[in-house]
Amino acid sequence: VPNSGADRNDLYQEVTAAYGRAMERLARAYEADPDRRQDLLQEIHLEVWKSLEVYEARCALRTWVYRVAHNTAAKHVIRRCRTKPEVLVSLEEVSQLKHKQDEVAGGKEVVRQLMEVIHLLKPPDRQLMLLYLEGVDTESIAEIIGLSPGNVRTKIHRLKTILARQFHQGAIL
Amino acid sequence: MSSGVPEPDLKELWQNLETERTIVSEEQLQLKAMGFLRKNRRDLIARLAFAILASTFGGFVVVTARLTTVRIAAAVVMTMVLINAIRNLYLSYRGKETWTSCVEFYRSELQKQRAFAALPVWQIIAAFLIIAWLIPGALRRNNADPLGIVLPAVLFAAAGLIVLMAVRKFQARNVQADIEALNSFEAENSPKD
Repeated sequence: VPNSGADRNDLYQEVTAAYGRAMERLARAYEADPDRRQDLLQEIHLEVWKSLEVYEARCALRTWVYRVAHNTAAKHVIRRCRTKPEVLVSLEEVSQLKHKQDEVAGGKEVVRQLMEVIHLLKPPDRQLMLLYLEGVDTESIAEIIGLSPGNVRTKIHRLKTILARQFHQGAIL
Repeated sequence: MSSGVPEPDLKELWQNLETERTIVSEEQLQLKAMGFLRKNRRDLIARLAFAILASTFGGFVVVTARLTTVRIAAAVVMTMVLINAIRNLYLSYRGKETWTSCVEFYRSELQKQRAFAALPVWQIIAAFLIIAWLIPGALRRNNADPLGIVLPAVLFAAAGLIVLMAVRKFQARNVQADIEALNSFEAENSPKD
């Protein structure tokens, strides 16, 4: 076991300091209900903590943490869909469902609309969008999701177009 | 599109999203981990207990029933319960670790769902054979009123089985659609690749 006891706890402290807020945003993006979100967040922390026992630094700690967090959240979505079926769509489909706003909205309103779009997405599209919004670079996104960098580049290009269309957002293009 | 208001930088807005900065202490984590292990153990015990009880009851019927038909039916049901229990246990422990890539993990979870949703063909055939076998006996024993008590019960069981099959089929089809969507998500390549 590469990291047991104190080593794992030290690593966990490092993780919460560096990615604690990202993990909270991620939980928010996967669960709208505040109580269930808190449960999901705790589950993510628990899974990350458990996984750190076998972390061997073969990949960056960030890649490891994002993988565990997104996979735990995706499992949560699958479990939720089993008990309460909901229709989740791809990025292309969401751009057809959601109409762009006529006016440029303020920050909070944009975040609310963005969250609404995110909550409609299937896990793989959601993972891509969230990692992009977190500012993770293309190579790392490819490593976290398990796609080729070229594939991720294509998808991010399309994602930017969709976001720009939805939110009149030019700065990121 | 045109407005005097500056356009938002989504990345910046996202990364500045208000958070409560939840910190889960080591004690909380250990408590949660123990709770998680306890829940897993409880689930496992409940499943095993059900399988053992059902097989004991089935075994009792096999040994004590006077009619061979009932004995055979009980033996088949007992086998089905045991195989299902083992299969479900195996499926719930199969699956990728959470640190595998997201696409790989998501696919393994979907495949697990598909396997749960799929009702093995031999079990459906066995259940229908038992029902078909019981109907003539029920008719003979209830000469006076064949549509009285037993036949509706058998037909009700058959209807229940058909509904279960339809639900499972629907679930399996949805999961299959998600797997196919994931395949296209993964297969798409940029011209540079």
